[in-house]
This record gives sequence, C-alpha cells and structure tokens, in this order.
Amino acid sequence: VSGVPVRVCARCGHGVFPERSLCPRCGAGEWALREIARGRVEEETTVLRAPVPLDGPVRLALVRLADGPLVIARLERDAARGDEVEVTYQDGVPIVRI
Amino acid sequence: MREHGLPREAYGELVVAQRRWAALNPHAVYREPLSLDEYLSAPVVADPLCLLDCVPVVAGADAVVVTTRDRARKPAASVAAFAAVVNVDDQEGSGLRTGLGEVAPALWEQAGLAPRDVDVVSVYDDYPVMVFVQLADLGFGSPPDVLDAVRAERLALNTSGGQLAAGQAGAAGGLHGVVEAVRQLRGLAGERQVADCDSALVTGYGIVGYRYGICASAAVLRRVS
Repeated sequence: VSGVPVRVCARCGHGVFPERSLCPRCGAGEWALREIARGRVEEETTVLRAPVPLDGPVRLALVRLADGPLVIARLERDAARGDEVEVTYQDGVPIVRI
Repeated sequence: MREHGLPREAYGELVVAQRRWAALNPHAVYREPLSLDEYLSAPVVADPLCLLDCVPVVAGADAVVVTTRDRARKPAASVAAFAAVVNVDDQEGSGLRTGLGEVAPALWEQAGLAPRDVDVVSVYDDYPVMVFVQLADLGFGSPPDVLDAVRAERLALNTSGGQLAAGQAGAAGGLHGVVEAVRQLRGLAGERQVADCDSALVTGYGIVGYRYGICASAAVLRRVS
C-alpha cells in the first residue's frame, strides 16, 4: 500500500501536496518524493450531491498527514475527527480505506 | 460554524436578507421571497451546507467603463482606496482568514473612512461564511455584529442580492460587486437604490489553491458629482 506522494523541499524540509513548482516557505525548487500513509482526521463531511462522475453520497475528510501537509481524502470507511487513519493514493486521490 | 459558535440560522439570516434585496433586482436569478424556515429545509449539499448556501451558477457578464474624472458622466464612481493581498498562510490554516485583515488599516486610512461610514457594501459571496470572514477581517466585527447591523438596516449588504441570489456568472463573478457599487453610487439601482449613497466598499476573494482562496482584494469607491 502506497501513501500520498508528498513533495519535500530539499532545502528546508517543508512538505507540500499537491506538488508545487517552488517551495512556498523558502522559494527553492528542488524536491524529494516521500510517501506518507499515516494521518489524523481533522474534519469530515458527507457530500450528498456529488459532482459527476462520482455517484451517490461521497464522504470527505481533511487529513493531517504525519509530519506532512493537510490533504483532502475520500473516506471509504467510518472515521471521525481525531481518528488516526491510513491514507492510500489512487488515480490522484488520497483515500482512507482501512 | 464551529469556530464562531454559529447555528445554521446565522448563515440563513444572511441568505434571507440578501434575497430581500434580490426581489428588487430584475437581473437576479432568485427573486422570490425566502423565509428562514424555507432556508432551513433546503436540501443538504454537504453537511452543514445546504443548497441555498451555495452560489447558483448562471450565464452572464459584467462590465464597467473606466475613464478620466473629467470625461466621466456625473455622478460617477471613483476609487478612493484599493488593496490586494495574497493569503500567506499557504493553505495550512482554517480558511477562515483572507489576508484582508493585514491590509484593512491602510485601506481605511487611504479612504479616510471607517467601516461604519460606508453606505453600500458588496462582499464576494460564494458562501455565507466568506461574507462573515471578509467583513470580520475588514473591521465590521463578528458574525453576530454583522447580523445586528443588517437587522438594524445600518449595513446595506450585497444590495444586488449578491451572487447567492443574483447568481455567479463564472469568471464574471469577480466584477459583480463592483457593478452593483457603481450603480448605487451613480443612482442607477432602481427600486433598491440606497438613499444618498456616497461611498461603497467592494471585495473580491478567490483562486482556490487547494482548500480555499489564495488571494483577496478590497476597494473603497466614492461618488463624484
């Protein structure tokens, strides 16, 4: 299981997702790739009227990756604020599955 | 809602108030009266936001003519103060600050006015929360303060109905508040004309980086007679 591909600034260590050209903290443009699979749920909601091509209610969470940035993830299991979760990455979307 | 301890009724009151203005705007897409009960029973889109918290997407356009003070047909609107800011929290905050707080003191000083002085306020309203957030950053107080001022008719807020009632015309949405403010300053707002409108505040907010807008702007306009 792969985690979310976080770009970590080679100069200052700041992690960003999605990827950026320049580090918003120090301005450098060299990145190392680090996959982060652990995180904690900060917010969650259910989108009842999801845009195409998604069908039916879609649950979304704001997840703080361990030593990393905030990402918006699709919830495919129950999770509440404060829960520690594992985040996978599929077709460009962070997903909480396990 | 959680950060400010607001019930859904707080967003609803703002939406209902803007709808009252929209009834007087023949160009608004939602013109029929709206009650708070109707707001509260609207379909939920993503808890806690309902359909009436989300801008209706419409086709439309905005335009303003910019010219010299001498050539402008009077009364005209002039720019008394302007500020634009990038939100430097880099998507790591709650999204409940816009950066306008950093530029608000200079904006009001340049305009020679205070928030309570402006006759018409056009705030970029993609969602009710962003109206509250920008007004707080610009010195209009907390959401309950704003609702008090709206109730007491001390604050003429989004007098076109705002985008929440008039519609968000794609990229043209950014000029929506400017057009309304200029109409009010020029005395061209028809049934919804605010009497003796001499000054207006307009804001813009947006370019969603990942979770929320990355920049904001504000201008104070004055009538030129």
